[in-house]
Amino acid sequence: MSKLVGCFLLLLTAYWYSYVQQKREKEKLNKLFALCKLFDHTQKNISYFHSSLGEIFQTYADPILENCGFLPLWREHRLMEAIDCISDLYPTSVIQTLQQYALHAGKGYIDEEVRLCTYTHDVLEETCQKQCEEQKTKNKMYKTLPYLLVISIVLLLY
Amino acid sequence: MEYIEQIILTKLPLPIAKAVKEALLKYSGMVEEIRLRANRPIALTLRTKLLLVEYVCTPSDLENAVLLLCNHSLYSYADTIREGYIPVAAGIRAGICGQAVLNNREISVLKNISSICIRLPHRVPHAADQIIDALERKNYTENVLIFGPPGTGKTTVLRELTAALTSMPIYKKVALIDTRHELSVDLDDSVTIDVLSGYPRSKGMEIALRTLAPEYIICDEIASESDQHALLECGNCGVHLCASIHASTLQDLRANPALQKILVLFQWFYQLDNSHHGTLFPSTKELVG
Repeated sequence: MSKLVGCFLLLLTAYWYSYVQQKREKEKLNKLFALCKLFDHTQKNISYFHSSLGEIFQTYADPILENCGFLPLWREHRLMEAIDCISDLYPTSVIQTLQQYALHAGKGYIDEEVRLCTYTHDVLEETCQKQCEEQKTKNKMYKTLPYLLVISIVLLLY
Repeated sequence: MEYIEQIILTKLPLPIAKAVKEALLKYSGMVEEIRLRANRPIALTLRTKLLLVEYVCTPSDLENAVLLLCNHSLYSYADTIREGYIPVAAGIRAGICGQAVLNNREISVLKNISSICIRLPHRVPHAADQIIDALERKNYTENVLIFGPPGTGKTTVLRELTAALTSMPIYKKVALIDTRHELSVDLDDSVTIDVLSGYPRSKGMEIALRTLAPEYIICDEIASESDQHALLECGNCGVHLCASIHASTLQDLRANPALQKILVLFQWFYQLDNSHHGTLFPSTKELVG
């Protein structure tokens, strides 16, 4: 009986771990997509309306970036602190690109500013595509994990 | 401290804001200008007095100040920076100067900012009462030109005139051409007002005339030939005009051949002197020629 309970607990843990990991990966990717959208919106507002960063950020709404604390800091123009909020989620190259943006944002004339936004957006979009591919592979792995465990248990017990 | 002074403190780098705050608290409502110059102490203009603050601005202070005044968005103010100013907020205007980089004889970029002159607008109720009384006598069918040297309160008088014309009991339809975003400040009681904010003066007048059917067009700092041409067009179309122009005396106005065409449009001239005192003159044949 205790063996069966132990197996059940192991299985439950494997399922739970698999579920949490998949959810985390999905959230990570959603945040990256949300960042992409933010930079696309910023770039368009700068090119079309020459709006100031303050105006753009104040009027921008995105529940994903809002909930992770990125957008409130971004709105207060605490760009570096906002980037720190998400720095452990993404590769160093992405974080460095965001930091470069934070360092130079608003300090140039229109062409420079649009170029800076477009570059940051492109880097984020490229990372999105890469992470999408990675996520597919990882999801497969997380999904097969509980099944592998079941097989292992069956092999061990019988 | 007044609302406008609180705003400007948020738009200055921390060391400058700290240095200026005490003076703003002490002379609240009296500070007309804050002048920041590279490697020189901060100077505040209090009506007729100059007050030096013991803080010497560094070039990097000025750079930071420009960024803050621009809302961290230099590109957004590039056009006005080329014209020499930044419209900050609530009618505050920062005049800036530095080293101009020319491209085809036009200023393309301004670098090495060396001075910033921040002008704080103040409402002066009843500043336009003399003009309103004169206009009322002819049932608001006459035009007025306000003139005076820089810093004598032309914009303030125009703002008060706008406020009076567009609120109870006069309610005239007024198109306000606010090229530098400083005229249409604090006009919450104005009902019959249409503000063309940021438009070039001549274009703004043309649009107002064609699309807004105003009874009055109000416009600050008439300067270029195109502004004068637009004024003439509006004046000849039956719209009444209130405008301001830089000139010290009536003789200066008369002596400027470029102004002769537009002087005939005005029935009243309002002269402001350095003590912000205004005198209203009726138009005469000797004056307009």
